[in-house]
Amino acid sequence: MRAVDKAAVLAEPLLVARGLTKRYGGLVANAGIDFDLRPREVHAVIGPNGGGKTTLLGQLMGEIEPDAGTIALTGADITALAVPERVLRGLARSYQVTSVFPGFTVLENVAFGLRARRRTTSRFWRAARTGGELGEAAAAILRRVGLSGRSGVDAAVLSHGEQRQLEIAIALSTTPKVLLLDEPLAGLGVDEGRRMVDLIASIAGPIAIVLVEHDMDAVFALADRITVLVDGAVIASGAPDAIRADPLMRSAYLGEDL
Amino acid sequence: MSRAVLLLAAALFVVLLAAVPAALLLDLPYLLFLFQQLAILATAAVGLNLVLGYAGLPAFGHAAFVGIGSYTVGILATELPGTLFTSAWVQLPLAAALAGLVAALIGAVSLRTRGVAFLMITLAFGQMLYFAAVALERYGGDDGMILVAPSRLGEQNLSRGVLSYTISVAVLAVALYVSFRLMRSPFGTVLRGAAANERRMQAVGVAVHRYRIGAFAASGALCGIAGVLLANHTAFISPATLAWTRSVELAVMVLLGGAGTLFGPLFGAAAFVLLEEVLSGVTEHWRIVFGPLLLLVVLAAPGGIAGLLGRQSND
Ligand SMILES: Nc1ncnc2c1ncn2[C@@H]1O[C@H](COP(=O)(O)OP(=O)(O)O)[C@@H](O)[C@H]1O
Ligand SMILES: [Mg+2]
Repeated sequence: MRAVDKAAVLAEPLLVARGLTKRYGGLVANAGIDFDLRPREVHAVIGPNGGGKTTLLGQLMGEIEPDAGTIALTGADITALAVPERVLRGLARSYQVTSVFPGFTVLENVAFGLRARRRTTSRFWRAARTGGELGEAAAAILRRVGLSGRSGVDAAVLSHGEQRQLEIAIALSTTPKVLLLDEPLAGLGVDEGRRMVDLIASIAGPIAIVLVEHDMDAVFALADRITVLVDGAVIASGAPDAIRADPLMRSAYLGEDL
Repeated sequence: MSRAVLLLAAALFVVLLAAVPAALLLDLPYLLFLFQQLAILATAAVGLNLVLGYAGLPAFGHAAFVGIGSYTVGILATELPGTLFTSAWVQLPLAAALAGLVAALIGAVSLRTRGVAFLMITLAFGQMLYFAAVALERYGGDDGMILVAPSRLGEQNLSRGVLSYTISVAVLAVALYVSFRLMRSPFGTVLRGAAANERRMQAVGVAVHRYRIGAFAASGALCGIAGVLLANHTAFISPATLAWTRSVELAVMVLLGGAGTLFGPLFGAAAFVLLEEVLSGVTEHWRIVFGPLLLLVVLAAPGGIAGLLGRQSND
């Protein structure tokens, strides 16, 4: 690790990963990654395609089982926990390739997470309602992401940009403490991208964010700290200014984007 | 749900009910026999639809759960005739519980796999239960057994006749109502949502596996109830009820009628039973015509009959 970690350790990290390793045959997608996320922080993870960013998020979320390493959330070891259990403890994520519930309205897309949080998903006789308190919570989330007018529309017919917004709304529906965002700007136009940056800035703070993103403007606008992943290994980690100034970084990665 | 779907469903129930006076007046007992078979198979198909349709899981061993219901009746009639255990009020819940439990266990194991592997393992479990039935020497083994004591209902029983018929139609109506309630509830919404995007459902905090096991249990229970009625209807119980071809037939009904729609299984069962009846009257090689015909329909109309009748929402 070359860049100096200038961000002071202000508080116990919310999320701590140690030695996360994932191999696919001979390929090491994550090679002993140490990573942490502090309260209120936006921690960006950047690096070239195939660097292992999505694999890292998948392991943090519990979708990919690590070959080695541990993960702790708010001090408790969650390495062995399944995805839904991690979600109930405050982890949520978005996906690089849009992943919503097609065939369900925008409102219903958000209602799943709201019900899971309220532990009402196992009710099997009364109709699933989207009104009342749950409806208000859903409306508040849709307002936040800018989808208010679209609540009755089938998620499958939303534009790509709207689906990216819904992606965030679904993640917010679980009331996360930690949000893992996988290339939220992927495929967005300039204006849409700018709005997405504003949206992320507006939810950051109370929710700590791991931001995987290729758009360097977005990264430097949002990140409190940046980690650079190349070939599955952390080659630098630190404050944005330090990363920007790091000569190895400039040649290894930023050169192509700045 | 489209108007046409509702109309057809209502029309089918009118026909099922009108068949009673028609059969009595015109002295056509076979009409009732045929329609009762339709109602019973439709009930089983409604059960299978919970898993195969709404949950989107390619389960192909559900005849085994029908068989559990039938053998429950047959074994109790043989072992404990004249007791409480030949009462329909005992047999129906018992068969539902047994079939539901076995279905949940089979579901719990099968759900560790996906796709074709899931299909094969459910088929394999169905075959296991089929061979278990064959091995029941005491109950006729391969040949099966005659139902010596039909399920009692007060002074009457569930063998042939208007009462038995009416109850089969009523059970079908109840099964449809249960399916309706389950699938518009949060539980059913989760099942449907997980069929649309399983990974996402996990990622909003829902342990999908449990809900699917629940769907298997409900599905198996409905099939078990159908099995009780079927045993009384044919007054005969044999491993043939559990044959894998039966499972496929049930699946064909669901797909033909419209998987994941409320009335699809009813439409599918009606089309299946009536087509089989007509074709087998025309030629004894009806299966040769029937198979490709079904394939054609399913390929031409992936949404089945309900799909043809118009876009159907999930409730
Ligand atoms: N399921 C998988 N099977 C095999 N190789 C994989 C799998 N997932 C990712 N990889 C490989 O692991 C490396 C890291 O991938 P990924 O984490 O998606 O990178 P990034 O998100 O940084 O682009 C890549 O070389 C990719 O091809
Ligand atoms: Mg990626």
